[in-house]
Amino acid sequence: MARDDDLLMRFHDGELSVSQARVVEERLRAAPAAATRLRAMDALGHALRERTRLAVERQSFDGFFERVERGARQARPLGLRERVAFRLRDWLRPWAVWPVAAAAGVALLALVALGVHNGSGGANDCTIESLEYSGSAGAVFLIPDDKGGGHTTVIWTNETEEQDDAESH
Amino acid sequence: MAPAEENTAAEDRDLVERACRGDRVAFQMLVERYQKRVYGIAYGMVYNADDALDISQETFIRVHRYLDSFQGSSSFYTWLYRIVVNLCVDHLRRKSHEATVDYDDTLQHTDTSELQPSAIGDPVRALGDRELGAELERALRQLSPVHRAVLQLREVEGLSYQEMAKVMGCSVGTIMSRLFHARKRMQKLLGGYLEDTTPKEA
Repeated sequence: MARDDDLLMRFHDGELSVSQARVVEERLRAAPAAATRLRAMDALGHALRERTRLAVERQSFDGFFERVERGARQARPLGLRERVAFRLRDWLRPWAVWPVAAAAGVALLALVALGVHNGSGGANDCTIESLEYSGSAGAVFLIPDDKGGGHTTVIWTNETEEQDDAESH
Repeated sequence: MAPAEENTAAEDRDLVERACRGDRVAFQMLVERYQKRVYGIAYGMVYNADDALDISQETFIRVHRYLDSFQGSSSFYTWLYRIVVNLCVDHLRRKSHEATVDYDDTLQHTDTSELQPSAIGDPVRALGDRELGAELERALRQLSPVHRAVLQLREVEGLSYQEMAKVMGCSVGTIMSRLFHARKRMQKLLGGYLEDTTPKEA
C-alpha cells in the first residue's frame, strides 16, 4: 500500500492523531485526486451503512430472545474439554501463535544443530576461567578416555579444613 | 458506531456477571442490547435475511453457553463480534459454491486508479436506486468472507483497527491491507454501473 493511500485510509477511518489529520486536510486542499479518492470511500461507507440499516429495519425481532433461550436450554452442558479448548482457541489467536511458533522453531533448530554436533563424536568443549574452593584439599584430574584422544575432567573438592577445625574445638 | 464508551463497557460487564450467575433478565438485556448489531453484521456478510437471523440466534446461544469462559480481558462486544464473524465465515465456507475472490494480504498495492469515485455521485440519491442496491449486493457477494467482514466492522459498526484486529484475530497491518483490498475491489465492481447512473454534464 502506498504511503499516501495508507494516510488517506487512516484519515478516513479516524485513525490519525489530530496533528496528523490536520496535515492530511491541508494536503487534500491541494490534491484533488486524493480528495476524490476520499469521497469514494465516504460514498461506499454510506451505501453500506444505509443497506444494513434498511435490512435491520425490515427484520422483526419478535420472539428472538425466546428462541435463543430455547436453543440455550436444548444445548447440552459444556464439558471440561470444550471449556479448555474454547479458552485455548481464544488465547491462541494467530497473532499470538506465530511468534511463539517461530521462537519454538528456532529453539528446535538450535537443539537439532547441537545434537548433530554432539552426536558426531566430539567432546563437549569447556573452558574453566577460574576455580575457587576453600581449604587446601582440592584437585583437578584429567582422565584420558579409553577410545580416542579425548579426556574426562573431574573437579575434586574436600570439605574445608577450617570448618572442620572449628567444629572440633 | 462502536459502543466503546466506558459506561457501556461497565454495564456490559455487570450484565455478563449477572447472567453468569443465572440472572435471566440480565442475559435478556444483553441479547436485546446487541441483537440488531449482530444481525446487521451477519446480514452484511451472508446477504440472506433468514440465514442472518439463524446465525444471530446461534451467536447468542453460544454466548450463553460460553459466557463463564469470557475472560473479561477484552470488551464483551469484541468477543461477541468475534463469535458472529466466525459463524458467518463458517457458513460462507460451507456454501463455498459462491464465487469468492481472495487476495494475498501481504501484497504491496500502488495502483489506486480504481479508487476513483467519479461514478459514485451522490450516495443518498444513488442508494435510493433499487438497481444500485442490487449491484451493491452483487459486488459484495464477490468479496471473500474476511473482506466482507472488515467492511462491515469498519463502515457499519465503526470499530477501530485495533478492535477489528481483536475480532478477526490478526494484526492491525493485516486489517489495513484487507480494508484496502476490499474497498478497491468494490470500487472496481461498482464503477462501471455507477458511471451510467451518474448524471452526465451537458
